[in-house]
Amino acid sequence: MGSLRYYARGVFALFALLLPVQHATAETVEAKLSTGIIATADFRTGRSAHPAILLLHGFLQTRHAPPMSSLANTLADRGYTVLTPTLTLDINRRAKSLACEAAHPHNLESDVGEIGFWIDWLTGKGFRDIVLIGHSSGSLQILEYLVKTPSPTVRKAILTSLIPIISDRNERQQTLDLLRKKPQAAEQGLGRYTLAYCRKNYAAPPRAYLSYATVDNDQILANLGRTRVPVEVIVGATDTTMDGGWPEKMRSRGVPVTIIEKTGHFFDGEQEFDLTDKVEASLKSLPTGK
Amino acid sequence: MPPRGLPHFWPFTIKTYALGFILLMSLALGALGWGMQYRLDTIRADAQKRYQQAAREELAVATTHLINEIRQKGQSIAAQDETRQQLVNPAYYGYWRGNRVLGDGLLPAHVKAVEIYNRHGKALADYSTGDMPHAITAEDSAGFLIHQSGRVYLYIFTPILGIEASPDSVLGTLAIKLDFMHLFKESQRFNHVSADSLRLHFDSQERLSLNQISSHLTFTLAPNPESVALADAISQFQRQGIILLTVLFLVFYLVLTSLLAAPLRRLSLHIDTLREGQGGLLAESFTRSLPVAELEKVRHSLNDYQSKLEQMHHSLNEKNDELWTLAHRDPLTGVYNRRGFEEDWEHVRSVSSGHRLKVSMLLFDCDHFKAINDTYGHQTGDQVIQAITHSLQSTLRHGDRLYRLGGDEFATLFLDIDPDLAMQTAERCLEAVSQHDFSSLGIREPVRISAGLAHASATDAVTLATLPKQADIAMYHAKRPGKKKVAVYDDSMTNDAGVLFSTGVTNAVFEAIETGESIEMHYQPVVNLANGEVDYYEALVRIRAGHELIMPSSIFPIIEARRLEAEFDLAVIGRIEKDLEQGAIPARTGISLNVSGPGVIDPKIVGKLLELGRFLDRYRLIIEVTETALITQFHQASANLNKLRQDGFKIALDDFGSGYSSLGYLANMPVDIIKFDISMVRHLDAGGRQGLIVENLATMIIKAGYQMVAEGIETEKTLQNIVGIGFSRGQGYLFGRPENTCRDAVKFSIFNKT
Repeated sequence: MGSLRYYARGVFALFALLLPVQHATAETVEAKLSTGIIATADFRTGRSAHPAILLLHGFLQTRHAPPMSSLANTLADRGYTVLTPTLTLDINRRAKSLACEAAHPHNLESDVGEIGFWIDWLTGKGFRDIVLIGHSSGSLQILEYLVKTPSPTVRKAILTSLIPIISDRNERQQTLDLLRKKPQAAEQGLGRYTLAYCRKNYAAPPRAYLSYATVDNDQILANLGRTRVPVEVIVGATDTTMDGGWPEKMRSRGVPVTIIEKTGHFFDGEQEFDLTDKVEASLKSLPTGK
Repeated sequence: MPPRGLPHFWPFTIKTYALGFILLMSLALGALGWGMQYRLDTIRADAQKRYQQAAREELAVATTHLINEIRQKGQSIAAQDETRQQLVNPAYYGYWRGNRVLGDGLLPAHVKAVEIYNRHGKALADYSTGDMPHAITAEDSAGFLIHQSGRVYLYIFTPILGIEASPDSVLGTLAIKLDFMHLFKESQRFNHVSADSLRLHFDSQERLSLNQISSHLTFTLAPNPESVALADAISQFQRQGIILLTVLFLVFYLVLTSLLAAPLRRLSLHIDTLREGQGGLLAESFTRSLPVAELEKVRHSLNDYQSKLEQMHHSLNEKNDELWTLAHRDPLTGVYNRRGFEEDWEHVRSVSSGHRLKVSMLLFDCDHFKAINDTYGHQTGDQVIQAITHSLQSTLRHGDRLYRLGGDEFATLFLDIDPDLAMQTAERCLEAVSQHDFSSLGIREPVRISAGLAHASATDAVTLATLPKQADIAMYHAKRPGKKKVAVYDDSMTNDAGVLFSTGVTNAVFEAIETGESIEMHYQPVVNLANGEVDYYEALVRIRAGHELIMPSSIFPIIEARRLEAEFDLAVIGRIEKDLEQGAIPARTGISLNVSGPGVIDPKIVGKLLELGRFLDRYRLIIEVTETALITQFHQASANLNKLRQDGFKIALDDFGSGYSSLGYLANMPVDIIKFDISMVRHLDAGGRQGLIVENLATMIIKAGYQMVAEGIETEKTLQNIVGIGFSRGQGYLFGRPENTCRDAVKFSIFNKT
């Protein structure tokens, strides 16, 4: 009996080891953007009955960063076609998260352009039901995409931890003032700013900085109101980066907001499963078929 | 037996042995230490070689490690998205180089420049920093070192590779320039090499490849901590060892000294003290216990030996005292003997010499002691001596020593005493003896002593030396008949004494006794007062010494002093015998011969006299003896005389009246003739009461039937007196002096009348 038990345990352990291998078989795709920069993404094909899902990472991260990477794996395991691009941030084949101190010539528009590129890429692959899932600044960038000219194949957007990118008000204003005075300085030189978790060390040209820093609460709420694509927002109850009344404000725009208790900005720990459950529940509400 | 060459040092002391042992041990340990040091030096040299090799290897490893480390950092930087971004969009290349690489701590501080070269080897920036080359070749990519501005710079080149789509494609090259020596010294930890000493030597124009670095490095070895620690430990061990050994040797020396040397020295000193005691009081026992068992046993043995020695010493002292007493005390009387006298006399002489002291010597001698001794036996004689001793001691002052010089002779010494007091003391002594009751000893005769006293001043060494002789002369002087019993020496005695103590006289006397040839008899006539004819001749002895005659006054002191009476009597009898044989004696006369007290009781003498009996048919033979001779050994003397009487001899009592003249004795004496002493005859001449007593005494004796002979008749008046009293015989110069031939007596008218 004892030996059988150990044998069973061994089989289970081997199976557990093989599980990640299944979603590790993702295909890395490269695409040359119009800027000449080569962008990369992981692509896993799911069942056709399910929508294709594009998951976008957070600020300066890559497609391998949680919680989108684990969520992508889970969804791929559940049969969804999953595309997880890494925003190039103007770096050829960017594979690693970018430090705050690195030069950041990229801006929100180029990011949104890359989102559109990958949606078009999916559409080009024949996917007609595309769901966009973003995290943090990725949610913000997806929302920016949605309010501009979203592809008709985008059926829904699940925006997790949707909050404005933190910036220093005075710094932002001074930069704005600088650009007003010296418009030619917008692309020149690198300033060091406070942006998101970068504290006075985000090295970027003023205009690039401002493209992120100027997306404030109001613009997000406005964007939520303006988009025609169904949007759901999921936030952690203990996310300290958002104001206390932020979920309600978003609901006020008619956006369903799901709050997962006992979790913060990254839905880490056991609440990662809650996030998955919520996302899956949201995905199942979509009509089936390509 | 000391070894040769070490006469002054052998045998060695324990301290010397200890020091020698310490020296030998020090030499042995020193040699051992030198050997160890030599071995350690060899090991150290080997270790130094290995250390050198290890240092060389360490440098090679450190060089490789540093280069690899730089390369890894270069690869890390080259693998960054930002780096690759520079090749795509070098808009912010300067920012990247200055802030993201050099300014962000990604590389060591000694990195002086970083540059990216595209795949064609051209630098991204038109202007380079840190003298970086504008372009590189494929040869450069291996890296090299060059001299620049006095420093050695290392150039490391890292390919910037593409990823994902073409991972092996080289997009460009990352070049890092760094100050090699500073970084090498500071970044690497050296165990065998002194970092400060590191130098990289190669030609300043030369480019050094990376694999040549270690061979061009010069250095000095860092102190090998293990070797240093080992050397320190050994050095410390040696120091501690030396200190420990020094302490141990010191302790060993002190222990040896205190446990062996000092106790042995004390023992030796103790034995020396015993030895130096030289028979005096012995030192105390060695009471202090010794820390070594063997020495403790020696101490016990020594103490036992000492104890036995002390017992022996005490015993010897007692024996010495006893011996001294025996040697210096007279066993009969307990007073000092002759040896004691001689030592005391020498002591007195030495002590008093040169001082103004008067030294007096008093000699006593018992009168007729030999006769007493012979008469009453030695036991009684001893008791007499004891009684005399007691009397003398009780009379002498406290502190005066009495010496018994021998027989009946005693002596005492007076220091710084008045001569009168000495005389008084002597007289008291005589009185004490005379007062003693000798009758309790069975002695009927009075016992008297004579005393000779001599004085001398201690300053007169010559006189002092002859003091015993003077006292002796005085004593013999006192012993002479008719003399005072205490005599003080004066020079007039010297003449008489000269005879006594003359060697010539003494020799003549001895020769006379031995040969009899020098004896010459002189005959004095004893006249028959009835007719004036010679009745017989008294034989009076002389000794012929050359042309001189030695008279009896000189002969008999020597005879008596030497106790030669019997021998002399024999010689005299022999001479008379010859005279009789030769017919020297006229016919019809006779001879009276004097026999001493000892002679009377001597069987030889008696026998010799009896032999003369053969002349009795032709001569009258009269034996003259003195009162003393008879009294001292009365019974034997009486028996002998009676025997002679029985053979026909007549016995005459000589010198009656000069001694005790006891009538009680006279009645019992076996005598036929009484010879009145000259003193008695003179009393008759003097008349008066004394003369009357003597006259009546003579008359009484005559009536008792004795023949009476008056001695010392020198005048006719005396002759008439004695004739008138009734004396039958007379003798004296009136009739004739003693001569060597028998002459007839001088005739007087008184005989004609009758």
